[in-house]
Amino acid sequence: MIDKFRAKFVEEGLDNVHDLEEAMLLLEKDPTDKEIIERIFRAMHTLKGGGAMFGFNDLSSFTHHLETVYDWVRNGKLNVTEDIISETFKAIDQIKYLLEVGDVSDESEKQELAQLTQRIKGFVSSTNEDNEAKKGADSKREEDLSASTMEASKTYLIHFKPHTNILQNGTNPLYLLDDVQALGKAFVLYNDENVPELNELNPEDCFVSWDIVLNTTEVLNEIQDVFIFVEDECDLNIVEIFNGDILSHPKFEQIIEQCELGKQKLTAELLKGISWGGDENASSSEKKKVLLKEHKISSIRVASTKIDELVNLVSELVTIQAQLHLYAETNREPKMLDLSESIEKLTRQLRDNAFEISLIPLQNDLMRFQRLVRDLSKELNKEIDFIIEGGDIELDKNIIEHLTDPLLHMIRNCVDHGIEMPEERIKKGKNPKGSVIFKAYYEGSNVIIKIIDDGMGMDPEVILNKAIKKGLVEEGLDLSKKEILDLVFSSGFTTKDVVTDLSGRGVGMDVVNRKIGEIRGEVSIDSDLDKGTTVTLVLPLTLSIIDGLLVSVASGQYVIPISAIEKIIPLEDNDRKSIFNGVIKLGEEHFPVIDLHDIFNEVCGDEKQHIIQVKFEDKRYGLIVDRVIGEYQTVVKPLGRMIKDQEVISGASIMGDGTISMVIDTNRLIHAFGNQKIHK
Amino acid sequence: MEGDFKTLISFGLQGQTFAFDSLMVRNILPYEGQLTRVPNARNFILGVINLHGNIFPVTDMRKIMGIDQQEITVDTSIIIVSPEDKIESQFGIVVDLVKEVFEVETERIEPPVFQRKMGLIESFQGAVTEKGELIHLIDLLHLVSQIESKK
Repeated sequence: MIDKFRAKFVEEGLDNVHDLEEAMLLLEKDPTDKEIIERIFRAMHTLKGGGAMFGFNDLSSFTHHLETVYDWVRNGKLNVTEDIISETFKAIDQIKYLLEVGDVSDESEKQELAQLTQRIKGFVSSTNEDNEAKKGADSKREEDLSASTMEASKTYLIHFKPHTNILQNGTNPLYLLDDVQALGKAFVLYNDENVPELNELNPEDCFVSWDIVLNTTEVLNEIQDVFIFVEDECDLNIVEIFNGDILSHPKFEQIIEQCELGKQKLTAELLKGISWGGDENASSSEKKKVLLKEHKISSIRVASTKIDELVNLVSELVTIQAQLHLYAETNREPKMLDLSESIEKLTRQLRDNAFEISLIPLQNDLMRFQRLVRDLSKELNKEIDFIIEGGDIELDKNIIEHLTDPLLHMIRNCVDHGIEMPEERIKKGKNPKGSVIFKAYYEGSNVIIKIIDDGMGMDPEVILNKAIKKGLVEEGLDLSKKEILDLVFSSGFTTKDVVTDLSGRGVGMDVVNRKIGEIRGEVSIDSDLDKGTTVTLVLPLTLSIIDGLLVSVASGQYVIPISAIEKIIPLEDNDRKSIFNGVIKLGEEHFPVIDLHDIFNEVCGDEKQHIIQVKFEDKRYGLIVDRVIGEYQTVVKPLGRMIKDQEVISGASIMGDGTISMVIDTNRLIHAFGNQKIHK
Repeated sequence: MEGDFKTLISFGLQGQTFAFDSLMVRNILPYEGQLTRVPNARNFILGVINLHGNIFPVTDMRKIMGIDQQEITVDTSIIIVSPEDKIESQFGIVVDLVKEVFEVETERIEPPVFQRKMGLIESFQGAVTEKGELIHLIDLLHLVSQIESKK
């Protein structure tokens, strides 16, 4: 039994360590931030307490010394120095190790631990003399602390009066109210004075308006965002009326009672008249405690295998649902169709929900990267700013798992090979402090991640020469800059001996490319010599379910992901004849086409054919197929390891009738068959 | 009880009898042409099959071993095996005829009779005589690694 708790403690301990690391990095930027020091202290305290309880004695005593240091820092007896931060980072690594192995038994490890402990103790004893001087500042800081912990919860009065035609656009105002209520504590008062008599009432019009009193910690913008899509279809007025929570005030209840009876109109002035009197501070900090408590139970820890299973089951359900729908449709049973449609709606919601659950924010990984950049740049004596934008982007757990290594590799490349030494940067007229920007954002159904550095960039000529030497391209080919840069993705391009003389990054990029390809992502690279390099990753949001277009090629059925499709064009016989050297002319447009019959070694039938136009990077390609059957939502299943060398097919999916369709990976298809120039 | 027992499943291929560990077998299906072809796959992969919502690749044992194609009869079967006890690694093997599941004492297993390799099968695990019939033992794990290493 105790083992179970121990395991739990280790898991939570690692979370604490994680939190500690994050806080340390923040502290390094601003060593005076009281709130962060508090956070560090708390994390250490938890580790110490838990460690002693579950038999991690070394961990507990070690953390105790560390905690003492931060206790001093907290009380202003000690200032945070570079030294303390460095030692703390080492200590955090030690804590992590202790969490994994329990108590140390090895003699040399014991010594190491003792040394580290000694150094940490040193911070506390050496500062005994000058602590008197700081006492003055001490009390003042404490005040700051109490002020900063006060949560900025505010109360707003929202007057929301939809125009009468709002329902015709399909907007349901009640959903908006739900959204508002999700922001915090809200009281909603409806106003029906404009509602006409029943015989005059047009059910398609909206006559009701609402007054909402909302207590929230969110900023005004968040509230406005709720109404962003109906801005032009309603009168909206949001006023801040109160600093703190008003809803539980007895006077507020009185006013509401009056308003409900129709005796008074709820106005901002009326509410502004309320005040808590003297003990305003006390109650709002109490409120904060309540908020914290609520926050704690608002998330639960679930084993990731359980979530995988849930997603799998939902995927299965989607498949079965398709079968049910097919059955109902072929048997033309109206009752059955109704049922199937209801289930379809439910399934869709369930699916969306299950996928949302399996999404996790990139944030956790980013911590590691930040630490990496910090440690590595210290080691190499480089100065680097690591800037993160969009760390709150969420991605499928499985994608993140596959993403960490490639990202780590690319960031290491940036720091190691990309950014120059400070002296060199000054010579080039650049800021001696280099910057690496990590940027993530959504674009359609994709997530884009960019890693931008302002380092030395890559020299296309060097790359081309290398590639020619390696026999990857023939000499004398006229390649565009982009095509040259793409060469770093070809396998066998970079080996150890190239690292030193290859300018900038691109080391091991073939591995990155392959890994990203495994999760149906795309990598591209752009670089200007001496200006820097940008690596862009385009990733799908989720791996297992896609919206696809079902087409037939000869006797087989194939799914093409809708996200790649631009348009579908029927292929006339005349146009077919105009295909010359793999390029078709349609109207004014010329674009290359790939006949899937050729790719799949099938014979063209007499059937009317279609061109599916897909985009690939910035170009358009046409895929020739036979019939276009329809749009389907499909669960992509892997084909298993035996068929893994399959380039064009990314998986298979089971159709409603139990047959299997192959899912085409358009990107790889075009890469393999469209770019004849590089792939000879 | 003396010695260990091994449970084997035997199947026929071109008049010969082969066997492998029956604990790895998950399912036996009649071959009814329910396969979906995978374009550009290697020649011994016949296609994929939908079994209870999972998709498994199906290989042709005759092509793996480089035996002449036999006609497909009512006896032709697909054995679904799971060599690593993971659903992702399951796959089907098409054989001419599935014979029986039998137990054999491990000490009765003799060194392989075949010395030459057959197609992808580099070597056999052993041989055993059961009911007067010589049965060649195939190591499935070895076969899987052969299939996967061969690109």
